[in-house]
Order: sequence, then structure tokens, then C-alpha cells
Amino acid sequence: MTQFTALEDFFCAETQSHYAKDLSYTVRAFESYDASAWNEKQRAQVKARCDALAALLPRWLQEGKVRLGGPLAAQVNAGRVQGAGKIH
Amino acid sequence: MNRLLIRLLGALFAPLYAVTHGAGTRTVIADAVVDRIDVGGTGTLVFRTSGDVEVATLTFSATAYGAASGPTATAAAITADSSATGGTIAKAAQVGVTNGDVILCSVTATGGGGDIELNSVVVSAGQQVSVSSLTYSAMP
Repeated sequence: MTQFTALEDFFCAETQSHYAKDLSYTVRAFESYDASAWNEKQRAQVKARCDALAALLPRWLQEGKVRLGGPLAAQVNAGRVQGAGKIH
Repeated sequence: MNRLLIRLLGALFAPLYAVTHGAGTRTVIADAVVDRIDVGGTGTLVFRTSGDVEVATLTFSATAYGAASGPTATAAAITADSSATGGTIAKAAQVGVTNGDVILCSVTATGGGGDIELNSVVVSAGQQVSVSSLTYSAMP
């Protein structure tokens, strides 16, 4: 899993997500998700986003939109939040 | 003399840039961080736009997280926002009544790499927003 931090605010159409300056993100493999509760369409959607993020990261690094690693002030000492939720 | 002093100070403080914490310390840190959410009343999980405008506010249990196991604390049940304000979510804050924003984290659609991942980050006014699982892990 590769962690990166956004250096500016931007929206990515491929992952359907906003990336906010100074917040950190993790590139995860699709296989790391528990997809048992998802239907085929949802699986395909999440896999496409995972693949897109992995493919886009080198370009974002080159463009200076992100840098590798966690929060700047606490690269070693950053705590970690993980969660999942739903819009109904 | 000044150079010597600078070298000595450098040698003394250089190791601090790469500290890590023992297992017991990480447990204490995790508990200390999440307990700040409970001070002064029931805390909330606030989803916000990239411009820090509130989109949805969920409510933690009176004790937001259980006691940490190792470096990780797991949130107790979180009450959904049954009628969100609406907007496009980019980030979240875990907010205490007394302590304000205690934990800040990223939010994306599932697969987008956020600390919290939702099936969609676009929320219409009046929609329900829920979180099924949430953990906090202290720094290494």
C-alpha cells in the first residue's frame, strides 16, 4: 500500500473523489477489500477506482499535485483512521 | 566554541526525528486521543466539503471509542445522519464538544484511497449518511 499526501485541492473524475490539501490517502489493491457484500456492478466500480488511482499516482507526482508519504509535520508520528460508510 | 555547541546539540537531538513508540505507549496514546472526543458531551463525526462546509453530521456514542486494543481503538455505534445537509464530501472531522476538531481525516469514494471511504461522496439534501466501521490507530 502506497501512501500519499495532496499538495493542493483537486477532483478526480476517475475515482469520483476530492483530494484535499494536506490530507493523506492510501493506494489499496482491490483484493484488500471485503467485496462479499457487493454486487457485480459495485465490484467493477471499486476495482476501476483502485486501478485508476494506482495508474494516476505517478502522473500526480510528476505534476506536483501530491507527494509520497503521510502528513508533513508528522511523517513518522501520524495516527491512522480507517472507516467505511454509506449514503442511502 | 559555538560550532562545538551546535554539533553537541545536533548529536543530542538528531535521534528525536525518528522516534517510534513501544506497544504499551501506543495503546495509551490511542486512548488519550479518542477520549478527547468525549469531553464535555457526546462527540460528532462531521463530513465536510473541500471548503470546510458541513455536509452531514453523525453522532458518536456517549463513549465514542472503546478501550484501545494494542495501538487501535474501535468506535462504538455511530448514529447516522438521517437528513444530511448535502454537498460533496472531501474530509471528515471527529469533533468533541469541549475540544473541537480532535481527529481530521480524508474521505473518498470506495477505492479512492481515503481514510474513510463511502460508496459515494455526493450527498443530496435530506439523504441518510451512515458509517458502519471506524477505527483509530496511534502512531508507530
